[in-house]
Amino acid sequence: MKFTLPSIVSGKVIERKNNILKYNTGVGELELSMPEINHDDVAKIKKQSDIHELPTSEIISFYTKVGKLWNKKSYDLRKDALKLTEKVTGYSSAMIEHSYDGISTMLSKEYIKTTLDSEIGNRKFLDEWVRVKDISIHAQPRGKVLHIMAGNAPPLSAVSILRGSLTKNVNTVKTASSDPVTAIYLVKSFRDVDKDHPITKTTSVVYWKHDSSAGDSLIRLSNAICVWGGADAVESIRKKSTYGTELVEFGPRRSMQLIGKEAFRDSKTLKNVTDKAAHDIVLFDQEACHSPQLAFVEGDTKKFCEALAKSLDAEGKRLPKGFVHREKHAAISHERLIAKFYGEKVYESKGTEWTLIITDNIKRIIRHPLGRMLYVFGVKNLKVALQHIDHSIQTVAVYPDERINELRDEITLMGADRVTYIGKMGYFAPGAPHEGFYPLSRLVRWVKSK
Amino acid sequence: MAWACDEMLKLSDPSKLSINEIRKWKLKGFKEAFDFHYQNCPQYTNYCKLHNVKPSDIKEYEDIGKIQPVPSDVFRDSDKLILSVPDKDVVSVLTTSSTTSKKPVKFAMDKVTFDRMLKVNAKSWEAGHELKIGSLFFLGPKPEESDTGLVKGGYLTFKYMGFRNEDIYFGVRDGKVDCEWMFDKIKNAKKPIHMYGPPFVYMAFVDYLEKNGQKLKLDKDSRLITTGGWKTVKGEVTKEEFRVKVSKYIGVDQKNIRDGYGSTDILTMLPECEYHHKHVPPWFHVSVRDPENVNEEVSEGEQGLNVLMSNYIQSYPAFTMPGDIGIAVERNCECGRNGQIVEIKGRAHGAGARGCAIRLEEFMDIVTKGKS
Repeated sequence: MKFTLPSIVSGKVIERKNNILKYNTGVGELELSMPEINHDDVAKIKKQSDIHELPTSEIISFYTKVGKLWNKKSYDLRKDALKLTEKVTGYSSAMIEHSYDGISTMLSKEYIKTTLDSEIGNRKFLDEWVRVKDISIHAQPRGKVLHIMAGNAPPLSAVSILRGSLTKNVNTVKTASSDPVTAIYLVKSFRDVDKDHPITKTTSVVYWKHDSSAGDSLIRLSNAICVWGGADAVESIRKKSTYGTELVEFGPRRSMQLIGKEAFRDSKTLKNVTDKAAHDIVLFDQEACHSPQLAFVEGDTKKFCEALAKSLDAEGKRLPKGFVHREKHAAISHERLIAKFYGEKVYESKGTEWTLIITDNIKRIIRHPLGRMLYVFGVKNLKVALQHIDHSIQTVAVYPDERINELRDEITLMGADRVTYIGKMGYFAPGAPHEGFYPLSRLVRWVKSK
Repeated sequence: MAWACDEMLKLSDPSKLSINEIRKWKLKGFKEAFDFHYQNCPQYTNYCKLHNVKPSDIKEYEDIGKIQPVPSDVFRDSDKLILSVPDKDVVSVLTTSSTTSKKPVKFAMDKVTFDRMLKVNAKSWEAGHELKIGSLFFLGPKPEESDTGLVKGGYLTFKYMGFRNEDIYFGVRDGKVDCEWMFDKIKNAKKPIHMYGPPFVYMAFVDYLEKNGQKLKLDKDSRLITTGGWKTVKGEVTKEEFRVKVSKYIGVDQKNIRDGYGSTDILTMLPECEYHHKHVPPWFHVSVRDPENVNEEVSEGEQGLNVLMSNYIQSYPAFTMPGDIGIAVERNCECGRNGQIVEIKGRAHGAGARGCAIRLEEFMDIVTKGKS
């Protein structure tokens, strides 16, 4: 199978075929041709105008229109993106549809306004000088923002682009080889809203392989860089960016669930809890930083796992696993065998769809293979689990909701950034801090005048 | 008590037996070994019971693939050594290299296993690599500085074969590859001169020769043996590119540049013949399992998870799964050796997170790097 993807440089579609990416789709190899960024592209990005004069209301209106397009499953670009994203990411079409639904939710007027109100406060700060006591304050854009994307969660490019535009920056997205599709199609859809709109004409989506001199130039000329993904990606950008560049880092992190004894009140309650827990595990096949890798259960772990196994089967039908690489199958099988050697209780699907391992050895999670596997620990009190929270933990989901208040102080003091409900680990409330900070605030310069 | 492997060791080159004869030896050897570990390693017994596998299930050659594999990481994570012999019988422990977040894998030997290891490996080097006594350049540190199978296991074997202490050189000195020192020593070393070590150290030596406008010319009996990963400081190098470059600068025919499948799991290195095929001598077996269901073997020639099995090791259940992806075929090789030939295709553990999810192992690496 052969496909071609363009890049987009300052709103213009570029169709050079000088870069071939190869994917194992499980039913043969897919070759994806797409342009490698060059110095001419970088020069165009460098010269392009800014969107500082664009009123915030206009930006909101623009993205709301984009969101309405993506809200329709029949929208041509969404359909095309879905087909190709399924092949390159290995996610099932149901998983991608679910994440594209998330894009349209994020690009709704209500979501955007709540985000601005929470993160910036008074929206006027973005449009004009606002008198605060004796001084005037304005949130000026950083300028050019580069978004280095990870390929694990398709909606993230929409999140990052939106943040860049709301703060009136000019966006360039560097797509990930593991999902170069979604960002390209999303930005292509800007032309369906208004091909002459300043956001359409200034947004770029590009790709480069490691050690590209044009890519390095782009990194150097960016005023802010949002980098998503693994430690290697973050470390590489830290080294290549220049002094004064605002580095906004998202990841890498891991997450956990805390299940209180209240979950065992009756079978209906337990099913309700495990259905939600299963959704958290299944979402993006555990490849996201909000995905739980371990759970602490204040009660009968076997009873919990038996219920969770049923919920995972059911959730797996709604959001099935897509294509799984041989190496991933192997890593999961490997961890299952280790558990069995140690005499730990293993609950497993027939294939490698999901795995639950009951253990009392916290070191067992060290090689977590992801792919819908959860290590389950029994505890007498959820407070015992808090010692296992460190700065690598992003999200802690707690059941019941009422116990969040009891635990949240200690959870966050131990290093976690987010405490939420079971079933909601993959859904960030609009305007909520992300990784311990407000991203919009990091993408503006707060300036003052007398 | 003598095992089938002890009888096999009396043969001059068991790899040159017919495939049928090899199968008979293997069946006898693995029935014996599996039964021993099933009876003597309680953890393994329980584990086999969980999988409904028992020694009486091994009736035919194909049944060797039913022997329950143990992931190598078990030998890493366990605080106590995993043993099929009493603790007091342990005479030596070989390890694999460790990283900041990973403990080394530990394989213990009793006296019987230790002695067999020396004999088996000497046979592999002599029959497999046609290694003649001369001098040996170890591209690693001295054995007192490393317990790894590559260094310590290799050194013990060479000594057993008859290499004299004064003819064994260690190219990694004070933690660094000392190319200048090696180049100087090679000039006057006893012939034939052999080298042994990981590809990246060879590449460092070749880079040194290239940079200094030097080329060596070793004699026709010299063997350059590689073992270990193929990642170098400059990235990946293919085996073909490696052989061309090394042959050019060290002056050894490409057919004598041999890669071994070194595996501390089974205390050996599977030797490569002059046709660059990695042979599995009859005291070993490679069972290639379906990654999705590791209790099943894949069809011959298909890629899967390697289970490395030994029928000479009695100190621990040496039916291990190190996480290598490979292929095994059974055939007669052009070199005259018969039986299984394996090809290594990569590591299963390379399947890390593709996005912002992090495993604790990676996090600990980051934390450790930050503090160092």
